[in-house]
Amino acid sequence: MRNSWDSSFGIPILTEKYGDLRVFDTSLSEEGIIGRAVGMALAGLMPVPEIQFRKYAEPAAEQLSDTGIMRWRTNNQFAAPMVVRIPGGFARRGDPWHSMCDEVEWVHKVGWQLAMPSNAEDAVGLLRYALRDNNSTIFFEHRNLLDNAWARRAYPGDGYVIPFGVAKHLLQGDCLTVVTWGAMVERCENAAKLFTDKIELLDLRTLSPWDKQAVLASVKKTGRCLIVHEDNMSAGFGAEIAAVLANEAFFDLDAPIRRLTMPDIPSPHNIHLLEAAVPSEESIAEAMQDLLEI
Amino acid sequence: MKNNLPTMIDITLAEDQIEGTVAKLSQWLVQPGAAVAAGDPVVELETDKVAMEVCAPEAGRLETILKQPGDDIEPAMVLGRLVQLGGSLLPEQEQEKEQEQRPESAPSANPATQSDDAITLVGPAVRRLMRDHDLDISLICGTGRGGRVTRTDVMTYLEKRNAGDTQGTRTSGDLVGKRIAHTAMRQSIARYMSESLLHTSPHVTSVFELDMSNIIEHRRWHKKEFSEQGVKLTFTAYFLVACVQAIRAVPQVNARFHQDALELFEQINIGVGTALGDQGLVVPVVKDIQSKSLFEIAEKLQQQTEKARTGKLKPADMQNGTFTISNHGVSGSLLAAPIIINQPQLAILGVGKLQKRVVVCDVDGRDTMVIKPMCYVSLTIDHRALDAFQTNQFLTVLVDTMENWGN
Repeated sequence: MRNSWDSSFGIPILTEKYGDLRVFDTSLSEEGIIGRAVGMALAGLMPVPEIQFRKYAEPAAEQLSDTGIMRWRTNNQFAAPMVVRIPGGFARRGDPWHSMCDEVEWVHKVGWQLAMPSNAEDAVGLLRYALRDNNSTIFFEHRNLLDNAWARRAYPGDGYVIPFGVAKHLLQGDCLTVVTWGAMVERCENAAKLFTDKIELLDLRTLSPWDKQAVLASVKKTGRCLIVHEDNMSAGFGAEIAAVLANEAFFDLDAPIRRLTMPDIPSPHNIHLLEAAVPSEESIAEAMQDLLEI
Repeated sequence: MKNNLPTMIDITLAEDQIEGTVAKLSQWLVQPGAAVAAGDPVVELETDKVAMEVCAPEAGRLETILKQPGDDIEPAMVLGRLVQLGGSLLPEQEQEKEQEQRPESAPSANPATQSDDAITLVGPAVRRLMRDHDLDISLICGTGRGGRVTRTDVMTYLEKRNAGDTQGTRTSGDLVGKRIAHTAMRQSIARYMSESLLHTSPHVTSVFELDMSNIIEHRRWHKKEFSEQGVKLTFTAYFLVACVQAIRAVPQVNARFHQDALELFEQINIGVGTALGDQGLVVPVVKDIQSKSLFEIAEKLQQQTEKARTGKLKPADMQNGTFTISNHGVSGSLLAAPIIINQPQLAILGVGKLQKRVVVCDVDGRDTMVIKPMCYVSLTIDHRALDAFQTNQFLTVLVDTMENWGN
């Protein structure tokens, strides 16, 4: 379901390929988009509604919340599995509507799964898993990765599936664990190249569920952890990871757990302000170095 | 740009503080950037036998550290510099760093690790390793910021230690032990002992028996009177007095051997070996006892042993001894030989355990077995300077003084 007014992400081609019974425009009403998707799901279809940009999920908040708890509300007699695709995050410039991240909201919504891939290959595997799963998923597509050289990958094939809750180890290292996801993965990987063999880089890929075991195992090995995310600092998903580490890996910690995130501000429109606000390769490298030297 | 050059104050070691001994810098007690008041201890040195502190000559902020832990320290060396408070004084690099960090949005570096003494910051992982392996953190070299001991430092230390064990395996069959690094005190004891016994003095030990009845009786009568004045009357105090008598009779014992001459001393300064458990042994010296009464000697002795046990001895408290007493009997030994001479002295008195023994005495012209509190006293001498003649004369006078105390 989509609105043809927007053609920036190359979806209209699907209408041509599969016809307008399967791929069609909706009215410009987010509550209606999700509400209709719930009806279709209850009727046995697997709807893939699209919310044009992250902020516009807000008018659909009630439908989304109720979808997540449908199994619980109906004693598991009804469910409305669907895959809600939402682009968000900074792109060439920021703004408070299209560019916000706030992915942690979906982690907090009971009953939803949340995928936030960092590249096209993972997106394929995760999307296929979401489409085959019997639970609802928010599929958060980062705007900056939709046409990004680093994120562009070869098509991994029709059988490629990545189960949720399995982090990807991008780099192996002994001295510092860096946990990240989404558009920060590329920046962290580039920053980590300055510290050969020292940094273990984990791309969580999904935040709900998240690969707690992989993070714990890595931090128990390195004793140090840096969490990098684009979402704002306060109560961002990094806080959840830090709290789990403090509880379950306390006696293995050799340094304070550190978060590097956007400050608690709206995503700035001015490109220079945006660059100053979003963790950059430089600021990530600086945080890595600081933690390595502590 | 700085207009006013701030006044720098050197932190140095006073000429007389470590007279004749080797000092090593053990640790800085404050870190660069920290403010100190005049007289505050800023750096700790370890000499052969004591840990000592060097204090700030004036109030200021510690600006530069010039000597690192482990460095050998000589008098007049500049160990570091203070800057008088008021002058702006971060090194330029750090100022730059601060400016870089300020506009950064991320609430960056952890304040705890930028504090002044990271050596005291022991993280959970390190703390657990220390406990699991029963380690002493002071033996581990910290490579973290501000000297913090990191988990990697502990792992490296353990690896090295294990590697050391592997070497041990090669030389000692299947034996694998736990290595405990020597303290400066242990190293100097080792050096002095082998030097004295194997390279300097041919040792000979003579042993006499001593009846302590009179001393015990005298002490019983005077203990309370001394203690009312805050002084503990110990048997050692009596031995010090008796040594003065014996030295007066045999002044060659209170002397120093030179290739061409024997140098006799008027002054009698007697060191008393004081055990510090596993840490080792120190020898605080009671000085000028030739002119002191039993009370004064007991009082001075008490002060010195107290200092030794609380680690407050200064190098001066252990210098210029002319003779030494070893109370090896305190921990149960009847006789120890040879007791190694405390160089450059010429003799050392050993006092064995006080024990009731049956001795044969002449009672009314008949040999009779009598129970008496006895102990062995020994004198180990440097045979280069002394012979049995002086040795036995010394012990004769000593025993005579003790046995006839109060007569």
